[in-house]
Amino acid sequence: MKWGMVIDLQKCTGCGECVAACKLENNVAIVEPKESEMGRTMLWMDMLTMYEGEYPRLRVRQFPRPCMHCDHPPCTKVCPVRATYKNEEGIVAQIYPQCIGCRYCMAACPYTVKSFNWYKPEWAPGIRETTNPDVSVRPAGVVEKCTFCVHRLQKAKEQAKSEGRTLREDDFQTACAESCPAGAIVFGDLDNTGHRVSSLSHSPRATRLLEDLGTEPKVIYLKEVD
Amino acid sequence: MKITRRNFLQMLGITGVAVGGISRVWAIPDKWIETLQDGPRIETWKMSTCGQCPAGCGIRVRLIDGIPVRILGNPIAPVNSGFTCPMGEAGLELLYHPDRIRQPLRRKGKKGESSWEPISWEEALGRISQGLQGLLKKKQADRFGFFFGDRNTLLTHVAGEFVTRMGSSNFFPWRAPGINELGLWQAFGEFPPLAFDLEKTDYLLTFGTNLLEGPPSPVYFNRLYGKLKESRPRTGLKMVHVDARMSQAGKNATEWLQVRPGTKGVLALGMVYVILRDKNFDEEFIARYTQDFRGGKEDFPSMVSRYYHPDEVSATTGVLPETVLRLAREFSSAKAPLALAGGGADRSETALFSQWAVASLNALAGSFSANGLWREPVPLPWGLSPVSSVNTRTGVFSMKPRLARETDLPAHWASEELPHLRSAGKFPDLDVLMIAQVDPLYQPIDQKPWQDWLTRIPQVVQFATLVNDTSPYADLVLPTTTYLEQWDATLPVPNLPFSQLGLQQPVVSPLAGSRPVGDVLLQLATDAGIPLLPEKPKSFAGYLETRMKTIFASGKGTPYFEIVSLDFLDELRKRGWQVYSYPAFADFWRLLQEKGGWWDPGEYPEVDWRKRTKFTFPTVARLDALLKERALLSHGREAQKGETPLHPLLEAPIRKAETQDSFLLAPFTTLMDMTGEGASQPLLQEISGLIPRVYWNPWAEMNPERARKLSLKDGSLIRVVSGKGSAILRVKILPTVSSEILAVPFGKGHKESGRYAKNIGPNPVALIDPLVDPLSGRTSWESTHVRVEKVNK
Repeated sequence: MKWGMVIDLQKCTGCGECVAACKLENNVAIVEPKESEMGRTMLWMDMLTMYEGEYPRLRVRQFPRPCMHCDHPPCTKVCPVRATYKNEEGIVAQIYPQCIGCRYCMAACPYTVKSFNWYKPEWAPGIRETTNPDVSVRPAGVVEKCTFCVHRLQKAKEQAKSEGRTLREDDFQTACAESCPAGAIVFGDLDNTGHRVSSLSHSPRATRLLEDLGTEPKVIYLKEVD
Repeated sequence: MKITRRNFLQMLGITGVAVGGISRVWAIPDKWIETLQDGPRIETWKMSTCGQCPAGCGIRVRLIDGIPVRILGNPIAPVNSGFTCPMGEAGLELLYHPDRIRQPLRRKGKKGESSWEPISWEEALGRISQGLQGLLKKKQADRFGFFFGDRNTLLTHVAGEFVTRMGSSNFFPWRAPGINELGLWQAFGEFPPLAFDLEKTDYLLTFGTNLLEGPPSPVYFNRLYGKLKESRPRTGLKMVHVDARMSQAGKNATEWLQVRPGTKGVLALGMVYVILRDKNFDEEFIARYTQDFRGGKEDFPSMVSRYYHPDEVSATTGVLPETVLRLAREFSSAKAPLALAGGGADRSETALFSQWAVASLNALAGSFSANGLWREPVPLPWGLSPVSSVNTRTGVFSMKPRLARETDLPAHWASEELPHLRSAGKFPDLDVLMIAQVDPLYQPIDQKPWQDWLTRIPQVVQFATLVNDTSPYADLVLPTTTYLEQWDATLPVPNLPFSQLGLQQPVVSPLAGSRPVGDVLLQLATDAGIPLLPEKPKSFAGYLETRMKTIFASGKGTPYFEIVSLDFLDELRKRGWQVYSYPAFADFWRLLQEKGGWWDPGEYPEVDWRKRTKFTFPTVARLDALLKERALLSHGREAQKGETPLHPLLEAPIRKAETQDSFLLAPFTTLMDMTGEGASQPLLQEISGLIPRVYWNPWAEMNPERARKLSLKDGSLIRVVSGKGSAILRVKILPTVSSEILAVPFGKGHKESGRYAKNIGPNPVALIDPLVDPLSGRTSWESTHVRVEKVNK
């Protein structure tokens, strides 16, 4: 089993719904304006924008960017305390209590997917009730990032187990994939030929970000063709 | 049992997951811990309809032991098919907002000061009904008015009814016109605007219309754009976006064409010039369903040939003549070309003229005769709802079942201009004014007259969830429930090719102290002796149920269901099958609550042109006449010094940025804040600048070349100075804006509206010069000259 994601840029309209869904699903802290100005905004799913050429030949490319969950993750290699590691299903996971906040992994990640908790996450008295009870929040001083919504995986696994069957393709979707109005994000098992994500990952349009680094990302983009 | 993290996780069923870790910090409210100790932690889902904008998306809310924790899309809601936009997702932040008002507030100090004293509901309602009774006794019902915001729901109609039954006609709806609304109204008196089916077009030309980041329904159109984009390489669909700023609509189009602000109509007429010269137009449609096409010297072709030669068009719009030529030929040779104009943030001094020109382009290029492209809105089974209108000659507002094309305009076009109408003496002084679902002191470009006007009215009653910019000028602020705590039904979305009613039902019980507007209106009507509704419902929910009985009795439509092919449905219907069976109303009502709403799965029928008024083309004479007739709507504002008076073809107001440091200010809306109200929610505030990567604070988008000339770097601070004031903003250098404009997001700079919105950045709308489109009465957002100065820290 190797969890992966395919993002079809031909379908993506860059609306940013995946970003909002991810923040709410994973209780990613809202960083106040002053801190934001210092670059401390936390987005597990981000929207990258690239400008090619000049008007009238201007093309704007937008990439939703989650953690790439690399097969050869540079971040795990530099962690002095093994707070980040790749699990047997290919998910690059974080163990928050083990993290000492050295931020080596942040420096090592070429995709800049990690964020550091500068502050104890706090919500105003009312707002904090909007948080998702399935996901714990992270304490100050640790690094966090996209988990491929692993809490949903866990739930789905237990559901499947209780029904005495194996995990099906649609049992478990990440919040971003589930919320994408354009249907651009597809999630599933890259090793399972029955999963859509597996066939899409072999599309001639498939490409990965910064492939030459040899990180082998498990997030695959399908290029725009027009 | 003490709740520790470990047994909490056990309850959640996520023990043993490495991700998550041991955290001593909880974002879990104490109440939940209590509930969790005793509660079974049962997950339930409730269906309702989103109320963050008028689009009426179906939502399903996830509740854990009755506590809402997440909003997702309702998978069987026809508008959004299970998806939401960021605003829709963030709804709980509104529900749980820490600054929600919990008790009616009475103003203590002078108007304009934010000092309040809490009073009881009984006292507040007593004061209002006293005011209303006073007016009734004096037979001065016309001194009562009601401002109502853009959520197009059953409640809007009840508020309208409240005004009518009171004996007044001063119902002022406040909402952005639909796509093509201005142009189609002028061309053939069409209201509400015709619906269109994007899937049927093979050439989509959007004149500033940004379907992806604003009303009528961004989720619907994002979904559709994704689909169209995917099939584009196969179908050859061409999408061209024409605007000074690229916006998401331009990014997702195949081509973006820069034009100068206010000149979109000129470009459309330039295309018409080419189409006429090529004689490549829809002869049959023109001959049968239009007027004024051939009428001697003063007809439409002669106007176009006289003023809109591609060279002249090029000089005005900044589009190369060969591009005009190419565009015209591509468009007119397409099988089902579709040109759209207007929409939420697309406002200029030539707005109506531009949309009229675009409508004419559609007529000529054969768009209107293309198969199934244009659709006729069908009224709901309960019949036509009255529309509020404004008389262009007298300025009088009224409620009518149908608007008269000669003298009426939809009232929401001119609502923003009320204080001016009043000062022009065209509108009576009001004694009691109610305001709901809108923040008129945040949104209008001319705030001073609004402040003066509200100060003059002795009793201003505002319904609000948060104290907002209007509240300091209200005498009473009544705390209302959010859309997640009340009953209502959202009405069909304009421009969408099918009919639906989204049921809003309470997901949680209302915040203590707040009441639904509908129930307050019913109560007030009883107290003041206004015969509001013949059914005499006890509650708004009861009234909603009564209305739904009409829908049930009509036998039309069905509660939401999984979308299956329409052919299959037709087949079923022919054989007398239904998707659901609901023999009695109780079953129907239960299904509605379970599924989230009602819709008519058949699409609207194709437009039958034989049955409607003939399409009228713009001509010089007609424009002259219109300008005279609607002089009132530009409310006699004196031409500013050095300004040329209006040219019959309205080109005079097409403004240019002339000096090196001058720009035209162009506010735009983002998907995170389409209505200006998103700012109260922290998630939306934070990610409103997701694409330019600016968080919380507003920014100013500038073309790289201009920035270089002004030696500005990305992120430098600038002072933007207009005739109305100045604001300090951070520059974002982007190639997606033309060199003439300075694009600033709309939605920031609230003086109130809760802790997350208050005093975050300046309000760009406050910088805009009070200029009006003289034909529609709508204020212009893209004609303000601003000067840019570098600010050294």
